[in-house]
Amino acid sequence: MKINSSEHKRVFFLFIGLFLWILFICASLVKIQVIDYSKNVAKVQAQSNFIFPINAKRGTIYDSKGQVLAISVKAKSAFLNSKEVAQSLSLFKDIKQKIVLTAEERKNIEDRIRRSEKFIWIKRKLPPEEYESLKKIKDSNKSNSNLDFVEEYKRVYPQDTIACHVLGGVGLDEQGLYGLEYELDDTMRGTPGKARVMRDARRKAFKLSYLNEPLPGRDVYLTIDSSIQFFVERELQKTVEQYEARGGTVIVMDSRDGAILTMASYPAFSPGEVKNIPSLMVKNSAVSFIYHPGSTFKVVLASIALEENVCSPQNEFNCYNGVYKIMDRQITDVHPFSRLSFENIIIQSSNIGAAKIAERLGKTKYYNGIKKFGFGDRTGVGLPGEERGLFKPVKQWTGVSLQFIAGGYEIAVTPLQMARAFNVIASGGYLTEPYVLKEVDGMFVKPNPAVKILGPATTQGMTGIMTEVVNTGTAKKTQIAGIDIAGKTGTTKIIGKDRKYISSFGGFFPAENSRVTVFVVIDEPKGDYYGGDVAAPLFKAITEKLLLYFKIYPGLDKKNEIKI
Amino acid sequence: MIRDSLRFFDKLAFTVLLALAISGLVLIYSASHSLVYNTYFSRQVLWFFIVVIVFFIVYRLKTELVFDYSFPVYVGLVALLALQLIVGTIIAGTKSWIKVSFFSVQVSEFIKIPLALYLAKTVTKITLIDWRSYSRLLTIVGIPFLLIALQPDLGTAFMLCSFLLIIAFLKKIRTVIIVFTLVTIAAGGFIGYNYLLKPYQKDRIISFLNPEKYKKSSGYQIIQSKIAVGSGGLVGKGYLNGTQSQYKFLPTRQTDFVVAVLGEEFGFLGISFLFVLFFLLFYRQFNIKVQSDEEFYYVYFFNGLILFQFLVNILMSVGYFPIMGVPLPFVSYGGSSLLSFFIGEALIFRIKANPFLND
Repeated sequence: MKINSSEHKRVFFLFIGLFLWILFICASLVKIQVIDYSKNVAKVQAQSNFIFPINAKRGTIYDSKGQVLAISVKAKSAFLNSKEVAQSLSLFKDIKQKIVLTAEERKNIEDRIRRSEKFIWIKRKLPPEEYESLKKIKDSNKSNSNLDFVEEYKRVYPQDTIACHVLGGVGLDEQGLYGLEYELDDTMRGTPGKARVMRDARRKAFKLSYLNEPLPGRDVYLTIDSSIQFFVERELQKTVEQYEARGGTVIVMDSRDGAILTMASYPAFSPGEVKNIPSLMVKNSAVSFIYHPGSTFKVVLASIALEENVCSPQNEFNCYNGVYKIMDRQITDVHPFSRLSFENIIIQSSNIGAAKIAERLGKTKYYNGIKKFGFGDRTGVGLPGEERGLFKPVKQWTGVSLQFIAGGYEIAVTPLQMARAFNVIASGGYLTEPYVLKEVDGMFVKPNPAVKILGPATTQGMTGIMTEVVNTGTAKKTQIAGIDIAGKTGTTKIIGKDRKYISSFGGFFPAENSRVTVFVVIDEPKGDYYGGDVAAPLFKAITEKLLLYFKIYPGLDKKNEIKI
Repeated sequence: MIRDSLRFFDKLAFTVLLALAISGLVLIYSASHSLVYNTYFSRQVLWFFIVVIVFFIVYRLKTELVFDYSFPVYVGLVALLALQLIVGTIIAGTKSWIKVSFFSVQVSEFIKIPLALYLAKTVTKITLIDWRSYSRLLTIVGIPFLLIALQPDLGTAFMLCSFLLIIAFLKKIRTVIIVFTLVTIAAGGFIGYNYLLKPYQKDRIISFLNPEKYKKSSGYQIIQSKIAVGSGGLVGKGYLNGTQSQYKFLPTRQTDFVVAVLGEEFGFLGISFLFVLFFLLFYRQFNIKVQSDEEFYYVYFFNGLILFQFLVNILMSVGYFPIMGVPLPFVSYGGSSLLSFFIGEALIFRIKANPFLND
C-alpha cells in the first residue's frame, strides 16, 4: 500500500460522505415505502383502477298474453375522450355527418370540446346503423382524441303507442318517469352492479372484474290485453277525430274481478319519445281526468235508492213538465214529462226525476251510498297521478246539492271511478279494486278482495233498467241484435264553458252474468254531443269487436250449440 | 498458474455478481413479459451467458499486459465514439449504438475500462496535481466525456466524472486548482444550463424538484417511479403483480428504472436485499491487497464508478435526483452495460488472485 496518511484521511471523508448518501437513500425509502405507503397506493390505484357501475337490465313489461310491451335492449352510447381541441373538433366534424343531432346538441358538444372537457357524450343509445358508421370512424381515427363507446340499456316499446298512458316512459338513465314505469320503478329497476377495470398507461382495459354482479330488475305482467288495447285505441282515435274532440278515454274492465283489460286515452304518444313530450300529454286521463259525470251518475243514485228500499222500480215521481224550481235554481229535462216511474226516470234520463228520487233518499243515505261506491277516494289501481275527484261532505252541501248531485253535478269523478261504479252492478254488487298489475316475476299480485255493497235484488233491478236504457231509452245506438247490453248515457255541460260538453257512456254485457264492463268518455266533441250520439256508438263499435274476441256470439242460443 | 488463479478466485464476490445479474433477469422478465414483442428477456439471457464467458477470458489476461494496452484501446474507443457521432445509427434519439449484427454495441459503456486503467497509470506517476497534470487528466477524461455528451448521453458522460472525483479524494491538489475547478463548474453549469442544454434535458433537471408541476411531461417518470416504489410497501405486491410495472405506467422500467420494479413487487425488503448484495460486493472488492499503485487506483476507480452509479440510480428511482439515463450496474437491461461491468470486475478479480499477495 502506497497511500499516505493525508490520503487516508480523505478516503475516510469519502466514506463518511458515502455513508450519509446511503443513509439518505434509506431514509427516503422509509418515507415513501412506509410513511407514505397508503398515499402512494392510493395514487397507483387512482390511475390504474377504475370502478364504475354496471346498469342492471330493467324488467320487461308483458301484457296478459305474454306480449312484450316494454323491454330493455343493449345499445351503444358514444362519447368523446377529448385531449386536443383541434383534433376533437375535426373528429367531431366527421362524426356529425353520420348521426342525427339537433343543431342545439351539435353546438353544445362543440362548446364542450372548446372548453376542453375530458368526457363528452356524443349521443347515447345509438341506433344500430349509426353505431356502425361511428365505429368505422373510430377504427380509422389516428388522432389523440378518442371516440369510444359504452354499452347501455335502451328501453324499447315494440308496440309503439299501445297502452302508452299506462306504460308511461323512462328517462335517459332508464329511470321511470311516468306511468307504470314510474310506479313500478323499484320493482323493475334492479340493482346496478359494480365493476373494476384495471387499465394500463395507455388507458387500455386490462382486467375486468365484477365487484358486484348487477341484479336484473323483475319482469311484470299486466292485466292489459294488447289486442283489445289495439282495437280500442283505433276506435277511440276514430271517434275523437270524427267529432274533433279534445280527447277521450276508454276503460275496458273484466266485470268479474276488476282487472283492467284496456285503458286507452287519446291523443296518444310513443313511450320511447316520452322525454320530448310535454308532460300534460303523458297524463293518463283514465285516472287523472276529473269531470262531472252527469247522467251516468244516475246509475249510482238509483242503485242506492233501491238498496235503501226507499222506492220500488214502479214508483212514480212528479217530473214537473220539464222545469223544476228549487230555491233560486232550476233543473230542466230535455224531454218534458209530467210523471215518470222510477225505471223510466233512468231510461229517459230525467234530471227532475233523479232530483226527486234523491229528495226521497235524503242527504245522509245518499251521501253514505255514494261513499260506499268509492267516490272521493282513489281506486287504488296502482297508477301514478290518480285523482280522488271532488265529493263534498254533507255539511258543506247547499240547499240544492242533493238534487244536483243526483244529476251528476257538484261531484267530480275520474273515468276509472265511474267504470268501477258501473262494474258494481255488472259484478252482482261487488265494489272491486281495479288493477293493472297481474304478476311480478311469476308471482300473482292479489288485488284487495271486493266488498259487496249491493244486494242481488238491487243489481238485478238495475241491470234490467239499464238494459232497457239500451233497448228503448237514450242508448239505442248501442243495440246489438241478439245480445243484452246494459248501459247508461251521460252528457255533461261543462260549467263555465259555453256550449261545451262531455259525452260519456258506461255499459256491460252480456247484461245477465256480465263479462266485460266498458266506460267511454269523450271530452268536448264538436257537433253532436249527447252521450247517446257520441259515446254510445263508440261503445258499440268496441263491443262488437269484444264480442268476437271473447267468442260471445250474439243470437246464438244455447240450443243451437253443436255438442260433440 | 491456472491452478493458482482458480485457487485465489473470489468465489463469494463472483456469486454476488451472478446474483445481481440474475436478479436483473428476474426483474427484466417482470418488466417486459406483458409486451407484445418482447425480446428484452431472451436477449438479456443470451448476454448473460456471453458475459460469463468473456469474464473468464478477461480474467485469464495478465494484469501488466492489460495496463500496457490500456492507452491504445482507449484511443481506439475514442476514435469509435467520434466515428459514431458522424455515422452512428440513430436509436432512441441518441447516436450511442453501433449495430453489430444481432446485438447493438454501446461503445460509451466500454470506454470506462481503458479510461480507468489509463487514468490509474497516469495518476501513479503524479505526486501533486499541478496545472500540468491537471490539464492532462482533464484531457484524458474530457475527450470521451464530450464525445458521449454530444451523443447526447449526459448520464453516461457524467458517470465518467466520478473518476475525477475519486482522484480529488486520493491525490494532493494545489489549492488554486481546487478553487479554479469549483468556479469553473459553477460558471460552466450556469452557461451550460442556460445555453447548451436542450429543453428536454432542462425539464428533466427542473422537474425532479417539483414533479407534480411537470406530471404530464418530464415529471411523469419521476412520479410513476416514486409511487411504484412507494406502493410496494414493506414486502411488495408480489412478483408479476405490480400494476405500475405490468401496466406500462413506468417508462424505461427494464433499464434505468429497474429499481422501481423491484421496489413495487418486492418492497422495502427487495431493495434492502439489493443493498446487501452491493455492500458485499464493495466489501470484497475495495478491501484488497494490490501489487502496485496502478492496480490500487484502478480498483478504486472502477469500484468507485460502480458505487457512484448504483447510488445515483437508486436516488433517481425514488425521485431525489434528476433523471439522467443511468442504468443500475449488473441489473438493468442492456448487454453493453452488463458486459463492460463484468470485464472491469474481471480485471479486479485478477488483481486479487495474484498468488504473491495471497500467501
